[in-house]
Amino acid sequence: MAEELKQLKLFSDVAAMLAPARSLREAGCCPCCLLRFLGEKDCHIYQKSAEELQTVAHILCNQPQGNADSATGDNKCVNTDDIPCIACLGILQHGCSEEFLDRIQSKMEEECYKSQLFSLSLMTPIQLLVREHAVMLFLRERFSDLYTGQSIDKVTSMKDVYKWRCGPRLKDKLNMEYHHQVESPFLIQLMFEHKETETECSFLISACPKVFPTNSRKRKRDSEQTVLNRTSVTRAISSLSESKFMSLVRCPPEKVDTMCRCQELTCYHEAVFVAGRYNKYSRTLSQTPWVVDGERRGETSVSELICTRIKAMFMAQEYRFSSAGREDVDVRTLGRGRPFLVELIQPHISDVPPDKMKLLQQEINSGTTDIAIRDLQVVSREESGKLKVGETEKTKSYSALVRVEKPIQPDDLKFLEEITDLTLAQKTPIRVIHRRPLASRDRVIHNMSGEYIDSQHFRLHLKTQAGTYIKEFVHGDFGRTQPSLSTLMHMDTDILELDVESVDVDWPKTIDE
Amino acid sequence: MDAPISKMADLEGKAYRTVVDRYYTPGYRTDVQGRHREDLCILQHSNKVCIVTLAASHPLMADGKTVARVDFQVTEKVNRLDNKVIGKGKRGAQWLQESSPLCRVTCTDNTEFTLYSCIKGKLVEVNENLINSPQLLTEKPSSEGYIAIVLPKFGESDKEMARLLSQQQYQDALERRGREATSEARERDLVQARSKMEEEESSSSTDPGKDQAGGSKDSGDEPNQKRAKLEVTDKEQPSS
Ligand SMILES: [Zn+2]
Repeated sequence: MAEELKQLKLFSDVAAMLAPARSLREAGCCPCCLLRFLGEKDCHIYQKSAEELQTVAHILCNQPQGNADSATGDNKCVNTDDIPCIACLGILQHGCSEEFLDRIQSKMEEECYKSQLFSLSLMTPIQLLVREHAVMLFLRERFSDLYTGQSIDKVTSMKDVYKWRCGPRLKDKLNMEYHHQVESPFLIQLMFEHKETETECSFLISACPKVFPTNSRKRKRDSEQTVLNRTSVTRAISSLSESKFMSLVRCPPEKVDTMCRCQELTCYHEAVFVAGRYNKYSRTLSQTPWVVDGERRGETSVSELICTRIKAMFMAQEYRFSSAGREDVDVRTLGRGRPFLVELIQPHISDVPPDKMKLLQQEINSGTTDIAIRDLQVVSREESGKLKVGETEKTKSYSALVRVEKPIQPDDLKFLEEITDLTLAQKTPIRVIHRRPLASRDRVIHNMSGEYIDSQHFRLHLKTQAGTYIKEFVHGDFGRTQPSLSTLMHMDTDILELDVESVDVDWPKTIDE
Repeated sequence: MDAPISKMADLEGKAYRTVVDRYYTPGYRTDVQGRHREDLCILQHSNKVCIVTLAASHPLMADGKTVARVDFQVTEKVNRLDNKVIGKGKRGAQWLQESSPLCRVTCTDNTEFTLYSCIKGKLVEVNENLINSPQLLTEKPSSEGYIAIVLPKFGESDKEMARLLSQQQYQDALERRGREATSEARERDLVQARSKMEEEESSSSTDPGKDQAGGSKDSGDEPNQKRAKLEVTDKEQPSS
């Protein structure tokens, strides 16, 4: 026996499988489908070159030169792959060709996709379900001794063969990692279509009334497409007895003159998360775009200043910005800043090395004086969840410029330092009551101190539980925050300026400058 | 730490504006429900939420009354304290018409007043603090002594506000009221003088409004003439 055949592990002895091999060859199977239906499961066999596979198929079918079984299936010459295979309709032929993979490569380069790892996903026309079933029934009938108990589930799937054949080659072309069965955040989806899909499947609609009830059959022809899908066709096929099926479909299936075409190549990249901390130095900058009655207010926002360049760097379709709490337009955020997270949707590039992130950070910072960012880094999805963890346990430190109604002395502020862990009952502030439910919440002021400025002003430093409404604590919000600075000082107090001094969250990790 | 000195320079540069000045627009209704001088002030927040408050010209303030009791049981069936709102949309809120009463106020002199919504919308909350601290109503009318928070239908807040008097219109109305009061008072004096001359018997010339003058407050934008009778301005009556 030829060396090539010794490696094969088929449903039965290679010698016994020669007859079905010949039949499959005659029926019009490509070398890969031939091997699949003979029971070959070893990926290395399928990873041989197209020429090598042709050779294996040839020797297996024991078809010496000159045999005129099929016009082109007669020797090692290449154009055997030009006749559409009856089982895969060319997906394991042209679909695996160097030419097609080059097209994928150039498309990826065009759209600048760059990821460390990719995975492949195949969408195949549904008449392949019918065709594979027909091949199997044919084998079971013709070679009952060899194929009893065999079913399509025992046959190596076309998708696996495709991935074995094309994955490693694309890996070299795209310069990304590929592992069969390893899911990557980056998915290349190939959608193969065939123009005869409907014609080849529509017989099932009348043959299987249980799967396709009359009311859906009544509809016009154009709805056939929506009725016929992978699930319904699979159900329909299994609802038919073997003999019934064979009376409706030619087994083995008929040859066709066109191959599947891959019209659509879609790349999906899972979201990439970028985290950091920001300072806000402006009192006229909103955190996110500020829109009133459909009209934009303010030229830009913290999120835009941060995200525009990040989005561009990762070539993302869009982004979602979130942060550990937020400050009002007129509030600054100082100190080490506020943690934020940017979720990049459909990025084309996902591996941006730390040094590039550093450059990106510098770029963002040099573009504005209104904000500054630090600790910019890519984080995993799991990491990203930490932004919102323990939201209410976090503490925040503020400093507020307070105006008092009656003149004060520096000593009048001393009592503030003696107050610790003061619980406030805060009703939903009037300024947000239109968009939040009405509730009364307890918030804790851990400590306070007053820094005297003049008889009418002082700076209030306070450390509070996250979620405390500071402005309302100072002016009382029509008495709706109790106690308030007004009630503590027995006079009207008002807040003129507010700064966030620190957001006490240990996330994301500090990055050395 | 930022240099406080520069901050101070900034501070002194611009005139101080209170929380109400900064975030709210006032709208007034005078002689609410046809009741002489019973004026109310609606403060509309920039987010369109409205707060019903007492206007400085209301007898409760202008006449220096002391509030003894605020009762939210406005009819036999309706108690404003029963108002419960759910979710962002404030579902389940009591719906208010302009003429819906919000509370009844009883003063130490046994005079009684009913305060009305003046604005259509959902009742978000009434100021429950008024039950235990009724004096807030007159002592802190535009802060802790507010009456209620009302949320007009989405997009209708400005329309509702437009039905009210602006700050300027309110000032004008008060001036008119003052002028008419003066001329009326003059007329009344004349009549009194005449009747005195005729007979000593008439003892019922007491005018409660007049007697209670003098309890003036230090509120800046209060008009000079705040006690007077004005029989007009009923034209603002709701026609719903
Ligand atoms: Zn094939």
